[in-house]
Amino acid sequence: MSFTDTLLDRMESTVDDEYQATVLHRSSSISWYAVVYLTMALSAALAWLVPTDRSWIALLPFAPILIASLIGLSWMKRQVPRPRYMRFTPAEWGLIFLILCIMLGGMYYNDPDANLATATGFVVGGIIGGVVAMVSTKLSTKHGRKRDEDRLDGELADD
Amino acid sequence: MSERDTTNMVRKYRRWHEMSQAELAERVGVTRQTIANIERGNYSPSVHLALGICRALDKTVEQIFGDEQEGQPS
Repeated sequence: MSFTDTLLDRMESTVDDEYQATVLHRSSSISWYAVVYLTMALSAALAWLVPTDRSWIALLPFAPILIASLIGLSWMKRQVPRPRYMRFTPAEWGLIFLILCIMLGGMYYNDPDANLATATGFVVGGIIGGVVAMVSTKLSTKHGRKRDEDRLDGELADD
Repeated sequence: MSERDTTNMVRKYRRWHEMSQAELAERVGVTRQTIANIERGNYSPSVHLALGICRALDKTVEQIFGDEQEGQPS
């Protein structure tokens, strides 16, 4: 039995039956969703606290999320294709935009040489970076899912 | 509670009906990978999916997913 199987059995041993186990796993999805937005909020707060020459520290909280995502994805891909890209709702876009503004505001506040050009650079860079990240994630997810489907069909096919 | 190491007769009766995994998957409205994982015992299907598979294979739930499957020790 692999480490991940043992881990899942240990988690499922904390509840009493299969319905509770299903709800437990669903609650993990909700927890994960909350973790992502709380990490963004933490990152925005850090942008106000760290000096401008160390502003990269504000992005560090995303590292565990990224690594954890890759670990979960690599486990998932052995059994089913990776999930499709989940579209953001208008409310989520608004929240992301707000958090991004707070983050860029912190970077601007901490930059002693900040001026209008710097502020414009932050805003334009933030928007372009966000759009590029979103589009590349969407495309890589789409192509990755197709690759996963083809690979799994080859591995699991037993016609 | 674990969904691992679950035995069933899906593969046997699917082959008996000369049906591919993709054909069975299409009939019951799931992906081919899901049928493959059910056959391998990696996934225990929901009641609705199990019933759909049984209907597609013209067998009872007991014959495909029961404790005393045909040709299997109890």
